[in-house]
Amino acid sequence: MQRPNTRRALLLTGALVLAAWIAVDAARGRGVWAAVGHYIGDLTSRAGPTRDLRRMARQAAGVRSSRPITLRIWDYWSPSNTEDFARYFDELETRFEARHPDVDVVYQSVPFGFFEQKLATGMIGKRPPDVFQCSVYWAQAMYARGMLLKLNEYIDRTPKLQDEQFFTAALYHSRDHGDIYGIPQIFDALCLMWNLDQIKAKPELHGLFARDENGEIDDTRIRFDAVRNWEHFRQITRTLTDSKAGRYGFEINAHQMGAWGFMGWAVANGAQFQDRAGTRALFNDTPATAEAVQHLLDLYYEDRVSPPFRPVSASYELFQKGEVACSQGGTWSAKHIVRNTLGWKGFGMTAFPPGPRGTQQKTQSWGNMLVIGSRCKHPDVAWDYLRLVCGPEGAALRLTLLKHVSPRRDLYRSDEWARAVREEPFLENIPKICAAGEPLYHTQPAAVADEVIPIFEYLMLNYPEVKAGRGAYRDAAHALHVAAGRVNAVYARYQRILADWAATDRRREAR
Amino acid sequence: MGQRTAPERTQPVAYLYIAPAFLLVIVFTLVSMGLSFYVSLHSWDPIRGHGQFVGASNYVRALVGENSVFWLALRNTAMYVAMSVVGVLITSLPLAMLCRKARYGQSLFRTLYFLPSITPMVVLSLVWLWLFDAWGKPLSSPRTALLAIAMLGVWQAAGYNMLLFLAGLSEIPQAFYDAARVDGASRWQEFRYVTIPLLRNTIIFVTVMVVIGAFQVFTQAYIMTRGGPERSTEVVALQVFKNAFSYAGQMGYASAMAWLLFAVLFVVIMIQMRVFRSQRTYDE
Repeated sequence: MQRPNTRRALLLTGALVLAAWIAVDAARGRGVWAAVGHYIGDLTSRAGPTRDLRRMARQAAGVRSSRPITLRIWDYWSPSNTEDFARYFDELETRFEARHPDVDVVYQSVPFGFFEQKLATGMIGKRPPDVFQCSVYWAQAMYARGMLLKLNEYIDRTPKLQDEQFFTAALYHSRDHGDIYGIPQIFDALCLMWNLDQIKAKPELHGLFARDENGEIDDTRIRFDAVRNWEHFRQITRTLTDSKAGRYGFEINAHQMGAWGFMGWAVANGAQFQDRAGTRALFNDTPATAEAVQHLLDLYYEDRVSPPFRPVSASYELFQKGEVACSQGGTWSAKHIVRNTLGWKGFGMTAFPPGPRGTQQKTQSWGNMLVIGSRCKHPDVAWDYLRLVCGPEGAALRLTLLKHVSPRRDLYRSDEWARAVREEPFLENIPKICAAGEPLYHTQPAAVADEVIPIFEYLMLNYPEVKAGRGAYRDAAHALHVAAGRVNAVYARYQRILADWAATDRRREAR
Repeated sequence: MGQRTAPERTQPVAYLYIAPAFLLVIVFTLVSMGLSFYVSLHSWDPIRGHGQFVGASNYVRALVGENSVFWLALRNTAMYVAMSVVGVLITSLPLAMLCRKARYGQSLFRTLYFLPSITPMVVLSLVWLWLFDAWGKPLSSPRTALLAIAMLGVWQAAGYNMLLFLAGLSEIPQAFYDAARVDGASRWQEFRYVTIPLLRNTIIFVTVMVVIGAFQVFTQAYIMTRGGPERSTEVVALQVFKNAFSYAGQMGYASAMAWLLFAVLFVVIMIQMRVFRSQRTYDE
């Protein structure tokens, strides 16, 4: 008779302890149960991962929506990525739906790596999105396949989205033979990221810092043109290297990098990767690219300023751990670094210093864009969404919530920008870096990367063999010559496909 | 006296029982394969759809085309298959024998070894990516990268195949071992002359299944190396995926490569079945 009572008492005690624990956590606002509370709140909020549950329940119950138009938006950013993205999408949805009471905005997150595949199935299944964020990686091929709506007429009647309001380098990827098929919403560029704390520890490098209005060194900011040339870069990274202590001046990646590994340097030395039409590789037309690759090889094998090669999940992985003082990354990396390091902001960014054939700081830049699908049922509504996101309001929202810089010139004259730079000095150089960018042309980038990556990997990993005359290539120039041949074969194949598609379209129209 | 029943093969209702499964096989296997073959004869883009008929040129390009990586990918795939078969046999069978010997906790060991088999390969690949980074970086070198991803494949498959071997071992009558012992056989001789011959059918089954699975290796290569370094882990399924979904207008070429892989696999399995023809090994 005693046993059930004992069990009941135990259960009751356990429940009381649990309740007390939850209450204490909730009161303190941190701890396991507070986190669970936040998560439940997130789940039930409009921006959480189950944000569409209410809508789905309504549909299942046969309740007619008060918003008859549905705008389906796909993005490789996701409300469930981080709390910042959740706030961003929530804010966009709220603002847009407030202005369009008849429109229901439905976001769908699609991971970047699967975006093309998912779009293909969406097209085949006749359920493609109305609007989606389009990387410059896919843009041209999508337009060539008739997936994107031509936007020229819409732009003509929208003063806030005229070309002169954008940085020129951000516009290259959104058009083809006069047809405009996308509006850039972010501005990205390859860049060098510098650990300012490590520079501060070396008084001989203090000249790299910017100065404040009193002429005093400001160790929270690095000058845009701090690094004069490649030789200066070599000296700086050697000074910052202490391999015995496990600290290196610069991280060089060999694995899976391909042209990403050297094109920032090559552009700063006067080279280009390809022609705009995507018919020919240009990187082998000048010794500038081979010099850039040789510069990296020398930094690795002669100056030994880099930690050993290894596959990495992100180019800034060692940088944010403080193991390298300088790393090649992108202007988008900043927000990830701040988040991954729980708020460290002691870094700055620059473009690539000029090489022996270069004249100024350079890089490659591009603007990922919002596009409207060619099968969009409500293109006017979709265009209104683009106006919001790609206009000044959306640019300010992305800066405030996501620390994303905009391809819009007006953002950099705004109060939001001045405040953001005061709070996060690493942002200061980003517009200069992007503006210094040569447009990054992308024709069949995945196929091109597949040809270039193994050659670059071989060269970087086996350079001592190559130098000794026992390698598969004579030197960097020979490797690039082979790579250019392979890339040209990819371009030739793609041009044949484009011609084939054009002929098919002509036949269809003739019928 | 019961009523005489019609011979099994003349009972039409039996066809009804298998009809749903047969329909699924037709729609999702045979029709899909037929479509894939049709696509392989065309220049095809998944988004634009139907392209020009190009005959066997996709096959020719894969087999003898300049810069074609099909043969390299096939060689890597074959090496992966060899490593997987050897790896699975030398891990699963000993594990099964050890598990069988275990006096206590046999279920616990079985469960522990089986756990990787029910964990998605994507998750395992990510975990092992970090582990390999900490343990000597085998993925960094073209000499060891394929071996490293094969090790992961073996590690995942070992538990499942161990269960198959356990089932096979439990089928061997104890009397055979008793007789061998009476005849003075050593442990090794028991294993060599009793266990191995009587496990023959299980070994053949495991080998065939591992070969089929290993020829389609994709996830590890995609997640961990993307075919690198220096194409040392470029396998056929990865090439098929890249061409189908990452390169514009190459679905036909990707389908041709998939069919070539199928042909290779078909021939290998046929040879395997012919050499190791299943047989009854003892009287019950």
